[in-house]
Amino acid sequence: MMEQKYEDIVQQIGTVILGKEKQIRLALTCLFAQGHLLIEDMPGIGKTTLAKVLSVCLGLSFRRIQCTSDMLPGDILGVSVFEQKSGSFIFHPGPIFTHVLLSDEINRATPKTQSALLEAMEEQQVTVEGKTRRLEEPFFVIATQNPFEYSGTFPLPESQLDRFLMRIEIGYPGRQAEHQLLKGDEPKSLLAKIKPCLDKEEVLKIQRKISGVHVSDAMLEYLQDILDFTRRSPHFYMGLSPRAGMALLQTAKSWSFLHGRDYALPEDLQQILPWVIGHRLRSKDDLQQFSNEKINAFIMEVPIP
Amino acid sequence: MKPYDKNIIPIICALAIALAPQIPHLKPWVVGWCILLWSYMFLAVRYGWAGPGKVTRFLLTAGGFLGVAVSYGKILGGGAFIGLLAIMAGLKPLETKTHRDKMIAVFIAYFIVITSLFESENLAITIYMFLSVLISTAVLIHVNHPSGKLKANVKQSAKIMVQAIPLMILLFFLFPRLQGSLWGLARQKTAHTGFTESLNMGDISKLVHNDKAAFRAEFSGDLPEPAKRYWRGIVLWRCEGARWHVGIRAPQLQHETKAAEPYEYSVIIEPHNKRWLFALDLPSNAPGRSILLDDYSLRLNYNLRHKQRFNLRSYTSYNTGPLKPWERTALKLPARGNENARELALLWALEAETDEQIIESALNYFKENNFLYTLNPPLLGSNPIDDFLFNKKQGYCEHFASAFAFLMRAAGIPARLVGGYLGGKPNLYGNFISVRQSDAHVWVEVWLQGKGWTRVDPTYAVAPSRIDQGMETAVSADELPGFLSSGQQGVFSGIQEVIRNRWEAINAKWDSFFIGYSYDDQKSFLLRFGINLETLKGKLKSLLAIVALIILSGIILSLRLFRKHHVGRRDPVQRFYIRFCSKLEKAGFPRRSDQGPRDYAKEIGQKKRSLKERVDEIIDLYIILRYTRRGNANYMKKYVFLVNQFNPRH
Repeated sequence: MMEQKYEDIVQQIGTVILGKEKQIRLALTCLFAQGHLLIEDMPGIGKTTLAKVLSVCLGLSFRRIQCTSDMLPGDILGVSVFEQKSGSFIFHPGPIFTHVLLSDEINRATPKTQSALLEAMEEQQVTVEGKTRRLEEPFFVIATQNPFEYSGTFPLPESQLDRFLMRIEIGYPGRQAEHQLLKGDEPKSLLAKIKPCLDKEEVLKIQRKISGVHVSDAMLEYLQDILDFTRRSPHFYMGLSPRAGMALLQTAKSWSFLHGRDYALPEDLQQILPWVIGHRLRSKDDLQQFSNEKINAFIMEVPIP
Repeated sequence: MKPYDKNIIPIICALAIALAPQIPHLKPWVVGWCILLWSYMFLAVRYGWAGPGKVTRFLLTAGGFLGVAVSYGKILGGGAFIGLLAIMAGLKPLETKTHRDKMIAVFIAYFIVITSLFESENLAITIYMFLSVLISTAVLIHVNHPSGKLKANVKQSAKIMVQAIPLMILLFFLFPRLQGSLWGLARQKTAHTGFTESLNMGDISKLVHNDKAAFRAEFSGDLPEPAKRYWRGIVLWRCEGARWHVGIRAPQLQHETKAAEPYEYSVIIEPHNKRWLFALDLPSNAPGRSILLDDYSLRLNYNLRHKQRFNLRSYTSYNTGPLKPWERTALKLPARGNENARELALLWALEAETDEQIIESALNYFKENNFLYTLNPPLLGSNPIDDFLFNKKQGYCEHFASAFAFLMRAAGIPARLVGGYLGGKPNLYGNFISVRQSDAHVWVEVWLQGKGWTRVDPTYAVAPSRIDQGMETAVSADELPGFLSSGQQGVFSGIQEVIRNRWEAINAKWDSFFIGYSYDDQKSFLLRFGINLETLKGKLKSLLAIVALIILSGIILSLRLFRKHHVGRRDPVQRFYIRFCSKLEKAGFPRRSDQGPRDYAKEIGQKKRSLKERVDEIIDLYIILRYTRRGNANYMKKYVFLVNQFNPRH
């Protein structure tokens, strides 16, 4: 039943985001794994549309913030404003109080604002003026950054990159897909046609079910071998952290569940691996990140136990 | 067929680098073969060609092997061995598709590296071999971890080599030295000297064109002066006119000669595959497994196929004492021929009162009759000695020596020919003299009352500078081979000389340390640890130590490997899966080690439809048993049954 619904969602989103099925599946996997998504690409490639259509499809609320260097944490989290009528401070929640938050060009925000956002992502709560407020579940951040422009940016440090479960690139559409895009309706009108396939409760239910996906000892061995490999191999500046290991596990579970299974296979792990560890590893030689092909080649060296 | 993997290119590079020093020793067609096949491989990888089929490959292999058999003659020689390896090195990339093939190809490269030892053990080759091993190991790492960067692989390879140094040192000291030759078989063709058991006129002058090193003599004290640098090799007793033979085998020398001022030195001889040694005239001890014969030539118990070091002692002034009865053979001449020479000798003998006067007359005859010392002597007629003495009057040292000895015997003076080397280049940096094949020389010894055997060099009468200053000055410049003529002038030739001398000195150090480390050194080294190699017990002890070392390292290695694969082996589900996979592999569907069960099943399903159903069933059971919670005894029973029954060929 779930598999059918999942295919419906993928198909529906596919009517707006053309020819990017893999990215859609990855984004959904990330969301259901209760992780946050980082999209690295140039402007105008459809990042915002993807975020919007995701939230509509899943029946979730959607907010968007455009990060700038003069942005303050309060602009995201919300502020208390004195109201003369009642003679007290009233909290005005910021855009973070939503289900799906699109944070555009996150690397343009100052580190202070970045870390406020990232705290919310990690803890699922915000603290404003000494009062801690829980964010409503599910909470899902899609952040974007442009990897080609550096001036006036504050690149996310390693520790904060680690909080994104996945990092994906969307890339140019294929020729046929672009043809269709240019010929067809405007995305805005397409977006209006999208109907929610799920609601908030169902999303939470699926998230809970994913936690119950069975991962056998043999699977864990394989996962550990991969972690070990990144720690021992001379190619990497630093090996994967235990948090990265948990991220891999969670994503693999989500991927297998969305493909209609209640157990994870080595293939699931291989499918999602480059997107989960790509932003967590750096080359020892030049400290640059690896291409997906390179990461796949690395993983081919780890035999399945 | 699949197209080639681009990882073959580094393997070909490793093979080419390993083979490079062999190129001068290979037949040209073999070199062409390798270049052709490798270029084809480069193109095949570049354009994704699938490569030749089984039949073509078989024909190529058969053709290559046949070519070696035909062109090298005997299949067992060292040259043929290297030729075969080169043929295989050319062919192997062609069929390299699996990981196993790649490993084999890299190991061929290692084999080729070792074969460099067949040709030479000098320092340059050794350094190059280390480099070759470094690269081959880097390629080996690359084959197993294709994602790594070149720099990282080379670094890792260097690290492994550094780690191997203790083992290398251990083996250097402990690995039993084989006396004589380890690579004897391989050496047969390349090892050579100018001397054979017989000497024809014209043999030596051919040698002048050979720039190869013959030997090197390292002195502890002063070098002997140039006029005394006669290096004695063989003694020729039997005269057959133009030809001289060793003739008889002299008995072993009974009493050691003693004289003043001995020269203590060692000779490091290049392999020549013969049994004689070269020593400064006159040697007085028999080093190693050699004997000193009564004619003062040194004879080994084995053919010298391996560069080896001998410690020698010689006296340059000596008296060999009275003529022994067996030495009367030094008066024998052929029954007929060269009548004019005999007549001339008899004439001198009649006129002279002492033997010295006869010698004087003969030398004067050479001096006064416009004899020419030349590298290009004319062919001689049926009475060669007569022809040389009275008509042609041109010759090289062997002409003068054999004619002189003939005259002496005809005049009744015992005479014999001695073959060896004269001169050599002193090296200031190493206190040694290096002697080349081009220094080959023949001279005469006559027996004189009260003096014993005395050296007379008739060449001196014609070209005194040959003895004092070497070949370069003795013959006219346009006759000299290129390497001897002083074509370059000025600063550069000076610098070249210095570099050459330096390099030879470094090589000498290398030789004396590594080549010189012999069985005897090993014996005394082990004796310090209480192992006496002379006794059976000691031999057993050293053998036991080596075996123990091997077993110990084997245990450590297998323990580590076992621990790694421990988990997989213990699990019966996995064990049967491995069996299932190996059945499929034999049928031509190998599983990549990183390939998950579903991907594997899918791949086989696409490749061979008839297998799809059965493979899917087994893989499904395997997934249930290994990756889900639902596995139970019934599934297991069925799984085991199916795997055991599975036969991909039906």
